[in-house]
Amino acid sequence: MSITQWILSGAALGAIYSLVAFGYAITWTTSRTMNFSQGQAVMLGAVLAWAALAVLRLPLPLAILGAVAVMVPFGLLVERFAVRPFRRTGPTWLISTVALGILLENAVLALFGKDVQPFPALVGERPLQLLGAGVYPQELLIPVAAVALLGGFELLRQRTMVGRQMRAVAYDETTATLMGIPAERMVALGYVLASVIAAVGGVIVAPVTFVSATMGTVIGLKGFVVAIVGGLESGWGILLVGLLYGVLEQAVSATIGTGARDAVGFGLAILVLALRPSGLLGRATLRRV
Amino acid sequence: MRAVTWLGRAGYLGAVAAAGVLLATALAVPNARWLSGYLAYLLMLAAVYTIIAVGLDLLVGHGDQISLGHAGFYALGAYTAAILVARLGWSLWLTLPLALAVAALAGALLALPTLRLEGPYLAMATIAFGLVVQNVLIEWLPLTGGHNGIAGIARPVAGGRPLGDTAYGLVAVGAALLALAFGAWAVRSLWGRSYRAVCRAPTASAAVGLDGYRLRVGAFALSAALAGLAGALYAGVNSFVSPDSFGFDTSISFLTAVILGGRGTLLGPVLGAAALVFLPDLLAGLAEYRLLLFGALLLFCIYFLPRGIAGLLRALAARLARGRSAPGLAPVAVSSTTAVTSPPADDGARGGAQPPVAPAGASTSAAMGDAPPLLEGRDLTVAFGGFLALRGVDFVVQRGTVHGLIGPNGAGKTTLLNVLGGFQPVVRGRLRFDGRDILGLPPHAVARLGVARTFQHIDLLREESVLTNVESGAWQRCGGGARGLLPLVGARAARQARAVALDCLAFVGLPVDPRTPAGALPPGQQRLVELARALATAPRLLLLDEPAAGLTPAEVERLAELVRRIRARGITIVLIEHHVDFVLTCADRVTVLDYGEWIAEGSPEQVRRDPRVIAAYLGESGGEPGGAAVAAEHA
Repeated sequence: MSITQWILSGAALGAIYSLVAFGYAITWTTSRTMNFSQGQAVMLGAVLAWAALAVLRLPLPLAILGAVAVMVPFGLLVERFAVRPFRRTGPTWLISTVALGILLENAVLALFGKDVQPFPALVGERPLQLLGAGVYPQELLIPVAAVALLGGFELLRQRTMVGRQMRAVAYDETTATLMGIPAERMVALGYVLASVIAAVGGVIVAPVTFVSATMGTVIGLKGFVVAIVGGLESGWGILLVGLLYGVLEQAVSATIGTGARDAVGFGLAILVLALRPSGLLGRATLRRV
Repeated sequence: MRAVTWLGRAGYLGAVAAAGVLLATALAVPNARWLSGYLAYLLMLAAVYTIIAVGLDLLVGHGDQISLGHAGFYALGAYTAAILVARLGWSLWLTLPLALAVAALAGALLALPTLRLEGPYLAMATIAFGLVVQNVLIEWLPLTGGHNGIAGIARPVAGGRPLGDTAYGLVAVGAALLALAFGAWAVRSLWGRSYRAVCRAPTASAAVGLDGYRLRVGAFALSAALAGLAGALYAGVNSFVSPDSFGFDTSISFLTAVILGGRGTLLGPVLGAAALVFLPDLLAGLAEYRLLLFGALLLFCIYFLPRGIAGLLRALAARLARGRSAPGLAPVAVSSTTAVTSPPADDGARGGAQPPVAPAGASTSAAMGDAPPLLEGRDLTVAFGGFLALRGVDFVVQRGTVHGLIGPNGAGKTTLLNVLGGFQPVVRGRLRFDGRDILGLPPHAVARLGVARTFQHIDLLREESVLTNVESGAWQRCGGGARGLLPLVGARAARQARAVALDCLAFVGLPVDPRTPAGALPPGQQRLVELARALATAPRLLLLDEPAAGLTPAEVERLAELVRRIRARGITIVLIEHHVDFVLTCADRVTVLDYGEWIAEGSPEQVRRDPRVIAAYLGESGGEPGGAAVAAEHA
């Protein structure tokens, strides 16, 4: 494999990690909680779209839209039942979201089976030749979609009233509530956005990785690694680190072997965290007394 | 912790003795067949899981941490034993301490970088760790045998024969008993109580000198060590290990055992482990849906059984007991209850038999003037983004004085106090305490040098007793670190801390039963508990952040008297207050801040008349910052 190949294929997967990472970051910055099963939300998005295609026989765009739409109430449910009751009781929200993900994955496994199903690409099925590397058009689409989503969200956060309210809740929930900002609604909105972004990630990665009940676990985990190494408070850090992580994986797989891929990736992540605890581009957050 | 109380010292000794008997029996009759092979097998598994659950409960039940990768540490222990026994012919006995050490080391290495930040980093790192370990077990063929695993792990030998199923079952149960006793001991020790405190009230704990980072890394390593030990024992159960036993689902099953058994309870680990072993057996044929079951159980428990089966049993027992007799509180070794309820004597020169509240010699330097200042801050500047909360403030406190710090809302008083305590980094400036540069030291290190504080927003362990809260101030200097785990040393340190706490409670004159939960007291009394806790650290400098807030006029009066008595003990005080009158009557010297800038300093009289101070409080129109300013502040 050539270096161009590593970069192109790596960027596609890496962009997915960034999207998932962004899901963690959105809810973390608004509520200091996150859905630890973000990976299962990716899987759910892809499985729903596949079901709409294969079972309901909907056209592709409609299937994708439908799957993404279903993830809106899903996000609300996660927040309402797995997070809100436990938000202030230590790490319990962590256990509840993990448990939810386990339930989800195994319920899908029971219904959907262990099979891996193909998923049609949005753009062209035939590989292109680019700078001596073979690449599917879909793989090129993924980073573009990721950048567009991240950019759109940053605009929402920085330029709109809703975004400002979310930031206010993130900074100081009590004060924000006293100022009349519906903090709980902002937290719920964060979970909706995170779920929707995860579903979009699932739908655009499905043609590359195919659809399965267990596709989410590793994506969710790597998304988290990217989120902390990029810095949970830093959108662009997450994008950059996601792309780098994807390329690194390709490079390690090609040079050392696929067996070493995750060990090297996770090991390196822990090393970065040891040297820069707030992430590569993150700034130290203050503890308030 | 009530469950641990009845266990008591006899319980620990009993558990150790019982474990000894079990071990001796196993060695005496290595080929006994008192149990069917299958029952012995289930017993072994239950014992192994109990050991893991005790360790995991240290994180989930007593701390605020979580591990979703304990199967990784379990695997490290199991493979350490398997490789040494099957490949190098070691005795399984000898591998036990080594397995424990390997897992502890891995746990510490994982926790060191990830616990430096607040947040769920460690939890996610544990998932990754678990995956990597399993991955390595599969890929590193020459060492681990890959998917095929390692077979032929010989059980320990006694009298020339390897231990049979019954005997090995007895050994495993003995080990589980020891683990349970150790766990109960650990969480009850000064170390364990310090660990709980840093998880529940991190800021207040740092302010009394407890190093939260170190305690939490230690707890994680300990938890991993227990999993490693369990892994080594497990290697002897089937004489075979393979990567299939150490996946993510295994980690989740351990977590389920802890949550289902009952977080933070004595018997929870046993009940959870038993459920883990016997449930799938009862639901034979549902192996496919194991994880579905665990996920549902986890959710069910955190919704409906927050303290698991053990909590349920305890509630039932309490209901039964209520019919018979009124539940009595566990006795506390109160040596000076009378001193707590009677008005405390004003004796600045006490000390001697008890660990003194103030360090020896502190009161001798009470003479002002010639001695160098106790605290010397220069050019202290703090920025929040572009906003300067402190602009080049100079702040000098002489030994043995009460130094008032006043200023309108937003003047930067609390920010300055946070800088002094190490809670707030500065962008510029110098800060010396007793001739030593303390800028950049973490809060617990500053506290250990003798800087104690109270908080504007009361920060107590609300469910714990008043006595425990005050004791926590003394844990660090009485030996609250790993030393607190040692049997005799730890017990002596605990007695010392209790004595100090009772002394301090008597000194502040809190007229309540020291066993009352701190959260049940009215705010005025909670402030006194905070004060007593700060005094229990034997401070040289005491920072009081609005101690009179929310107090009745009578309480304010008593507080003023208390402040004078603390000074009489040779403790220097920095006092932030909104009640300007209160400060002006208590303080020897007063510094005034406004908009983050130093605007005046002097005796209370000088400050009271200073036109800049009057302007800051009342705008440009002038007036007395006495009564009118207070009224304006509280309007």
